[in-house]
Amino acid sequence: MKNVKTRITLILVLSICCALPVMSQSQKTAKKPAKSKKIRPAGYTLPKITYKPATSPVYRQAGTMKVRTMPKLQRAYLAKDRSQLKALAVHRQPETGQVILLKTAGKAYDPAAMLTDRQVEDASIAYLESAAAVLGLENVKGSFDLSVHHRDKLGHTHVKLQQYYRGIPVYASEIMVHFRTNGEQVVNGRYEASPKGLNVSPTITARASEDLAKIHLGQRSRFIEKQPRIKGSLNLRETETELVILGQLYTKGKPELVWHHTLYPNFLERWEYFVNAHTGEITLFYDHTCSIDPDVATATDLNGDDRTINVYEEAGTYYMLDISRGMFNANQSDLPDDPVGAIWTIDAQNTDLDNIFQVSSPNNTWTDASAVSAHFNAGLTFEYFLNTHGRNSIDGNGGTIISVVNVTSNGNPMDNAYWNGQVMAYGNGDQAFTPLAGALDVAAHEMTHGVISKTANLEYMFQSGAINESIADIFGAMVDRDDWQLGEDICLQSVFPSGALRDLEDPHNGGTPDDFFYQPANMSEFQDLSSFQDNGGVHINSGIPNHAFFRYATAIGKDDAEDVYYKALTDYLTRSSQFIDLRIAVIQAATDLFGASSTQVTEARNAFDDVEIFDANGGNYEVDLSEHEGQDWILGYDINPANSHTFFISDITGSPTSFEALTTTVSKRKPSIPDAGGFALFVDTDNNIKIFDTDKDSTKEGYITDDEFWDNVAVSKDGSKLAGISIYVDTTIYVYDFGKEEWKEFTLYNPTFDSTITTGGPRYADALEWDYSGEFLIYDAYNVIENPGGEDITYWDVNFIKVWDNTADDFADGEVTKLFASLPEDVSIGNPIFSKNSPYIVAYDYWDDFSGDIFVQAANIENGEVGTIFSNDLLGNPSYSKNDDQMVFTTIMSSDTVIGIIDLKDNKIEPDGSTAQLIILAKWPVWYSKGHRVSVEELENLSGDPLIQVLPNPTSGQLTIEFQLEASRDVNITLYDIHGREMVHLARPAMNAGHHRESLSLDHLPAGTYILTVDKEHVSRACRLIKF
Amino acid sequence: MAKLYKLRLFLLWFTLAFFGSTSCNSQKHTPETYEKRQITIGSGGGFTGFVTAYTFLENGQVFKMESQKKTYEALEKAPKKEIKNALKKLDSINIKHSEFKHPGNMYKFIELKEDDQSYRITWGDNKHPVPPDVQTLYDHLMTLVQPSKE
Repeated sequence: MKNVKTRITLILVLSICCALPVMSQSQKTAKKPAKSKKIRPAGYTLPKITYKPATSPVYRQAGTMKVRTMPKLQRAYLAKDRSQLKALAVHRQPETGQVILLKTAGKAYDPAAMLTDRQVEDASIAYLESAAAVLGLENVKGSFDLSVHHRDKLGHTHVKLQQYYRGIPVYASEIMVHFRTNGEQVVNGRYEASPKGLNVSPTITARASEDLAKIHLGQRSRFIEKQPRIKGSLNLRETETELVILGQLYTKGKPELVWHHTLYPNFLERWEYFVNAHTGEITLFYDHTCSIDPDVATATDLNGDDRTINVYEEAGTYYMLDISRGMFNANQSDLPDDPVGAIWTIDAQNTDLDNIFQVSSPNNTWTDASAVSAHFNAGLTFEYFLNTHGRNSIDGNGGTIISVVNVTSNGNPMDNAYWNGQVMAYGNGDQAFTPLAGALDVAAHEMTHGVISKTANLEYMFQSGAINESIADIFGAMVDRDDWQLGEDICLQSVFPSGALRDLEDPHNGGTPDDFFYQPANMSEFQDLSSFQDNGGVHINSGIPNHAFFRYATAIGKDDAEDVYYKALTDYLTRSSQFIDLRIAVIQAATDLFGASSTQVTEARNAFDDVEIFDANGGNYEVDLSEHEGQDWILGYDINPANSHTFFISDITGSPTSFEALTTTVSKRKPSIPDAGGFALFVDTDNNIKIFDTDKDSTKEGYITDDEFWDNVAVSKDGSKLAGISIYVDTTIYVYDFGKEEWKEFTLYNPTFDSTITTGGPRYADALEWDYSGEFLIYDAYNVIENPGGEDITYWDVNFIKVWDNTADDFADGEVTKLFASLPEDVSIGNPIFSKNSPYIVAYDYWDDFSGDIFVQAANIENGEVGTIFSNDLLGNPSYSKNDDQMVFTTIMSSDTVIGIIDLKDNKIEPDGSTAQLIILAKWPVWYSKGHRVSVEELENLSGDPLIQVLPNPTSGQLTIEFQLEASRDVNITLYDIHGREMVHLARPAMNAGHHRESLSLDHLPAGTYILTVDKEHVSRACRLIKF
Repeated sequence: MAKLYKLRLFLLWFTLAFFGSTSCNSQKHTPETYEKRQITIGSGGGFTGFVTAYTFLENGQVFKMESQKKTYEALEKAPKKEIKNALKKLDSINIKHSEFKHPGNMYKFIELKEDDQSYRITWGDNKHPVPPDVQTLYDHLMTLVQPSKE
């Protein structure tokens, strides 16, 4: 049996993350290089810092900033109509000079105008006609027909067109037209210049041509006599024939009219023949026998049932590897140990996943019933998500599904099954269960955990964790939909009175609250558990949403209910969702699918009412910062060799008249500026940390350190702390607190789960930025996975590290969190930044070492969505604008390195238009504001109103606000945290005059100090509130 | 002579009483009654939610607890020195101030109980890799788990 542990581990570490879209290939080469660093010398003493920057300097500006619109001049280069297409990139085939990739800028296309096949085809043909001169095409309209089209998650529309000449298809000549939301259009593919003078009426018949081909093939292969009975039973296929034009790519000369025959001489072989339709000459032929055809077997599963399973054979050995699905990618697969798009079952051979082996057979007979069950059930669950919800595999992107059987726990028999973030692992049972692979609902439950991790990614603690478990149970019951029980096929009756582990219909499951198989059925029975108990009751309180689903599905039917819940999971639930958010998500999903007044919506309300999850305002976990009132500027770095100045500031339009040079000191890196914007830090070429004033009228510049130790530095948003990295290969991030006047070193680390790969993980950090709480740093790190069996794998990834604890007012423990659990192979990300106002939005550079693609991307940490903002030619080092409605970054335009600017959609992770040049011959833009945000103190100084009462204060969670209105008014009640971030908001429009009482729940908020404001139009009241 | 006999009798009684009482005391402790420090490690979650935990008392006693049984099973004692070293390691990890609580579908934990207060580190979410020294301590403590020879 072949040990595939190393290979599998690499697949697991580098498995495709669905959030990162697969991009088209190009030939770009720029990427973030690994540094040639030295090993850090031992015993280095960090310097004493005497400089102390002022924290939160205030630069107030009169008036209010208006939302800026770009001047027309900046967008003048964009084409006004199709006849003015401006090629951004053209790649030609060296031999023929034909265009194989064309990228142009134009107007953003209107998706609403491209819904039908006809609309899509018309738009594509119109575009090709506008580009016909560049492409060398004539009579476009009669030469291309729509083949297929689809719109991806980013909103881009991709169209495939087949080329024809006088009604005859040109063999393998297809053009892809891509309409991107940013206004770019891309054409790629292979096509034939319009043939001239080609006679398209064949001289010889198809039958005569086929005979010629068979005579030719008879010298190379063995024909089996076709007998109808045998042919029917073994599915020997008939010859397929088509008249086509074979282009010069294949003829190496002029295009030819040919008969194309696909011949099947026997059960194994497939040949392609191209016979000149005028001369009868064999123009081209080749053996097209697929070397990776799937195979099938019949095997007995754990329940004694004979199952037909898909397997794969190579060199006389059969593997439990299903490559028969549409998602299988033969080109990217290296079988049998590195499949892409397969359903794969492997064997831990009674270890804790320490050793992993192929499940194989020399003769296609299978004796491991656990493996048969796991393989068969994984296939059924894959089919359920594909056929019912249109979801292509766990990641939605055709990623391989891996099941591991014969798994132990701490070396002991495992009474369990689990999803570990990469694979489904099955134990063989012990005291309570038979082998867990034997139950379809277990397989569906575990695979659903995978789907959850790729969608809402619900936090696995407390109510969000209980929703996570509940959703896994719900789809477990929908895949194995003959009852409402979970685990009924693998539970020992002697342990479980009901015969099942859980029951959506009856969460009590035949027990009392003291029984481990009991679950609460409604909120009155909710168990308020600490994180030490089942992570806050994730397997216990899941009974409540489970029962809500049972009520819902029995009211409207399983078919509608599963559609609503899948939409709620993929479109509305987020990482922090609570039970009330689940109610809101389900009702909204039902509204989307069936309408607001539908039975499906009414019954959703009833179902949640039944389990006492009542109507209320859900939590808003995407909490933005308060408004920054300062004037904004752009700090850039001049790369014009004729200019000795380096850093300069400009206004946000990039107006040359606003340029002010600040220094001539050469910097190694992009500078770092605190939120108040008064100064900038950077590292000079002598490896010292320097500081300069960002005031255009100031020339202040000085040293923070002069020890020639540093490679990069970041200042916290409030200016109270520094973080830096050294010039060495050094897994340390150094953090300095100006208050304590102390350094603290934090060591980077990374996970590994395979002892055969000695992974050093991160070798050093590089780009750094502080978050707005002052507790976390986001950074990128260069990683090396040492692979004794092959070439080392290197990549950059992005992580968070907690370096400060605001509650303890001290350094934190250095906990590391990854932005993405894994990255696709050859993909790196780096240069991360936070948005200016949404702490849950980050942007970064993305690059693919294989394809050469480079993008500026952004991600919403809360809902897991990722957007591609710009396709770049070099790393962009992006920076958000003051209001997050724009982004600036380094790019190349007309061969010049420039600072580009692009508008963003409201979600802050997608572009809203095209990129424009802002500042030429410049890089490393930092968009910053001088001034401060609306502060807690300002909130507290709002005018008082003795007629407002807030009780109790301090509060354990429930708050009552009483107030009097003299007349009808709009009332807004808002709770802020001590950083000025809005945590809760209640809007009560047009309240009548009189006495009012409002309730506010703070249960979902951590203990601490908050500011509550009550606004009655022009009268406000604010108070400090303690939650304990 | 009688006095000497009485003294011998007293010494015999004292010896029996002393060793008898200490012997009984060492057998009587359970994690629920033990008042000194104790460490618990465990793993669980998954489809069932079951958790298996091992508790090490400072005096070397080791117990196993399975969540579905809710009773302690005494295991073979571990060397006290090993427990002391583990307690020191937990101090160096600063478990009392750690906020590392990142369970995955399957998770592990290490917990210190001291003066009726419990402090726990939980891991299992791939996006939150546990610090290597915590994993090392967990693995080392697992090597001290041995079935009872009685």
